[in-house]
Amino acid sequence: MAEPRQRPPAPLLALFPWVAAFAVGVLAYLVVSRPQEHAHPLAGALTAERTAAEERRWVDTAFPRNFFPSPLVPPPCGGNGRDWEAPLATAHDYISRNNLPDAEATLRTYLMSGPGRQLTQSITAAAQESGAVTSEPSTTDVIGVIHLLATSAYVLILENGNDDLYWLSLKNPIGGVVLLSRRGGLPNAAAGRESWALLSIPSGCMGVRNHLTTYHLYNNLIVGYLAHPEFRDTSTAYLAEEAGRRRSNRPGNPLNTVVSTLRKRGQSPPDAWQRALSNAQLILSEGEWDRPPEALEVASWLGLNLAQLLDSARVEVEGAPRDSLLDMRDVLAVTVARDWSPVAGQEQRTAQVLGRLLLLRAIRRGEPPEIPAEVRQRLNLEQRTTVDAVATAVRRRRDADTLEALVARGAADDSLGVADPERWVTAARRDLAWRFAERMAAAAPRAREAWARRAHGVLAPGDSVPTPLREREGGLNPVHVARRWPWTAGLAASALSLPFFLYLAGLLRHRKALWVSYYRVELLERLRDSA
Amino acid sequence: MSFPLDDSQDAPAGQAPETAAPAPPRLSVPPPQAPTYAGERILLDYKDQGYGLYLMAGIGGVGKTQLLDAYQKSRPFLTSIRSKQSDIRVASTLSGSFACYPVRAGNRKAVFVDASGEDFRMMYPHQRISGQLSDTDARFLSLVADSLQGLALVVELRRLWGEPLPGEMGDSGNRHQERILAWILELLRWFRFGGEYNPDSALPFQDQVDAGVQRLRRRQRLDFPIQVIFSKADHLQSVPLPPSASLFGQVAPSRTLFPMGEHPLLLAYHHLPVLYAALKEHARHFRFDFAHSLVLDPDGQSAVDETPCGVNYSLSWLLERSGRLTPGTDAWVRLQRRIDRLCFRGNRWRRLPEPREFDHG
Repeated sequence: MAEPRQRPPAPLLALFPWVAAFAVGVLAYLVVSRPQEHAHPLAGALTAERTAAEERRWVDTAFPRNFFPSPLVPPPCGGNGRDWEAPLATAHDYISRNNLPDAEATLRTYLMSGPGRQLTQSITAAAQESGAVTSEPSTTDVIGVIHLLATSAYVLILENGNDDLYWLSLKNPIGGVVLLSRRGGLPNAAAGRESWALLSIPSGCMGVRNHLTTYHLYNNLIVGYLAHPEFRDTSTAYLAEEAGRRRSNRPGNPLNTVVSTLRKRGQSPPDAWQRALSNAQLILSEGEWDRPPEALEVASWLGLNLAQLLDSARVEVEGAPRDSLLDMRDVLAVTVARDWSPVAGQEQRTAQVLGRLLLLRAIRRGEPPEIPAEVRQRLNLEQRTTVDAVATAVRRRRDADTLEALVARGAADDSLGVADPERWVTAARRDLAWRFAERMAAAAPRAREAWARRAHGVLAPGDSVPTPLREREGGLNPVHVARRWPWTAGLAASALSLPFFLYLAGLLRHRKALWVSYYRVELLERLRDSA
Repeated sequence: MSFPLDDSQDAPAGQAPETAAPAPPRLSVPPPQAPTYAGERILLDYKDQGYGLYLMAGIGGVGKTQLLDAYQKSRPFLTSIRSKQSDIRVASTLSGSFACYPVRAGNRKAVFVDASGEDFRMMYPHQRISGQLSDTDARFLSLVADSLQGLALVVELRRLWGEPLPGEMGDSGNRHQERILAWILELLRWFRFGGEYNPDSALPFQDQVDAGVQRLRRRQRLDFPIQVIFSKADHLQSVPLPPSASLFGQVAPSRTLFPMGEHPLLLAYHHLPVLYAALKEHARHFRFDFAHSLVLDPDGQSAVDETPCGVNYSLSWLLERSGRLTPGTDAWVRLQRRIDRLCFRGNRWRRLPEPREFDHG
């Protein structure tokens, strides 16, 4: 016997809560998944640390970093048969024929075992005023030895040397310059400047403008240090020297803060890099660096070396000192590009280094990279692809609102042409979230919810929530989660509304029970059944 | 007809049952000097085992037992907990006794309590010769009031409104059904919310009940569903509606009842004002309906149709417990009156509307 019904059938009423809950779920889905109209467009480029770091990774992967030794200058004239003239000329001859080993052998013979050894020692003793001077070297000999050592440094840097002659060739020429300066033999040292950075060593040759300068010597020293990161400083007086040197620094020198920071911090960065940085600081202490960018003149080898060194120091400082570093780096890169003159014999490397710096400048400024045609044509395929990728990425970043729509879809941007575009999209998403969160923090209370919603709209599962957003909300915001996954919003709305509709159906059933006559219902049922 | 087997095992006059019954739980309600009702111990057993009590109330002869018998046809009763008898038969209940009929209500167990209609009638003070009621006279209600989960008030409209039946002797309470049931509602409310008779008081019992109920707050109303059943609906079709009060005095009835087309709630609203007011005053959830357990021939001698109608749904509504979180009937009525006023149907609250057609073709 079938179980009798306990109440009259009401199929519509039984169906009502489920249909209504489903409708609410669909409605919730449609509401949360509809495109959001933003009342507050960002309207501008995205200042994006994470995105820029990802773009920089592309550049660092595709472009090498190269430091260039100072190019050779013609040997000095007026040697009058001094014994250093022949080995210097022979070495230059070998170098011109690209025979670096024989050039090195010639120089090594003269400087380490020949008469050049005694001459070098006497110059060093005289420069240090140590009292061990047996015979005072003539100015001509000092100039000759400086040229010899500079030539040796050039050869040994290219030959990747690392012996006594290597460090002698890097450091001792500067001692010769000190001695010359003391004797008043340097024409542009008469102004009484304390700096040793930019001094021309007279060659005695008429009509030759390509003089050896202290920039050449310091540049070799910088490159020499950077070529041997294993170098360990044994001089206890080094930091004191650095401290004393600061007094003569120009205020705008971007490396001042870096060097003082490193000095306070102690030994964390490699000694070689610190020494290189210290010598770069000396170069940049010259007043000529105060010129406006358009009036600045710098040789490619020096400009590129300094720019790369400044770039490597960016991680040591933050804020204004960092901006100062990167400003100087960008000025150097633009200046070298403007006066394009590749390092002799290293045209492609020069182009690659310059291309890298120009790309870094573009990434930092959020502007499309301006790579000169003569530079671009010397880049390989991977590097040209990277240039294009950076150009595309920067263009995307310039329109943050469009970028938001792009990253909100969560799809990788294959049009970038890089191996892993999803990393860039992820970085852009996080940058956008941070920017929205910062805008939220600064916005009027009424507009904060809109900014918070946009920040959550670009965040993905696992992304760290920007601090301003976390501080505001203290945890997960279900509204934003719903906007992120509309189908969960639909399900949740259905599930949450179902009890209400069941209750409502119960109410209606209860009301119906009051107004219906079960007697009449049963009579009708019976008659229907009998029919 | 025979007595329910359960009653026979609950010897009221000190007769020992034939079979050894399990020891009943400790009885806390009946005082030693109180009269013992037949079936009282089995009722207490059901209470102790967590059965919800559903009381059938009405004066004698209105058809309470027949309604339960009809209900049993569609929903067999459970096995008696005392006798273990599975086929409990419904039988008339004598004065001073009541019978229990266990049923399953969803995942709960419930028991319908069928008391003697004479006991209900005699609970109304004006039906007693002395005109007074004592607490022991109403003790029966105090037994069930605390565990009551539903109440069926059975009214026979033909006896309420009609002429005295042939052979009717004295005041059988027929025309006082409304007042008797209203008084039972008041008593139940008084017992349910802690009413206790004070023998030291100068007030008689019924006055103490009146005063106690007046002190109760509005939310202290009976919270279980109450089903008012207009029984023997098959005989109501020719019953004229009673005169209704108006500005011009009693207005003669203009028509007769038509149960299958009447709106039970509106009928009670217009023509059972005492009962309706009592329900509104003492209860939250109540409804009205017609029912008949069988159809007799015009002579009333034999049944022409033994299929009950209106019984199953009405008693099932009692068992549903669906009204706990819903507005009370009075609130629904007020809402409906507002809706009707907006829909130009307010007239049906001024006089009973014409019955609906019953076109089953």
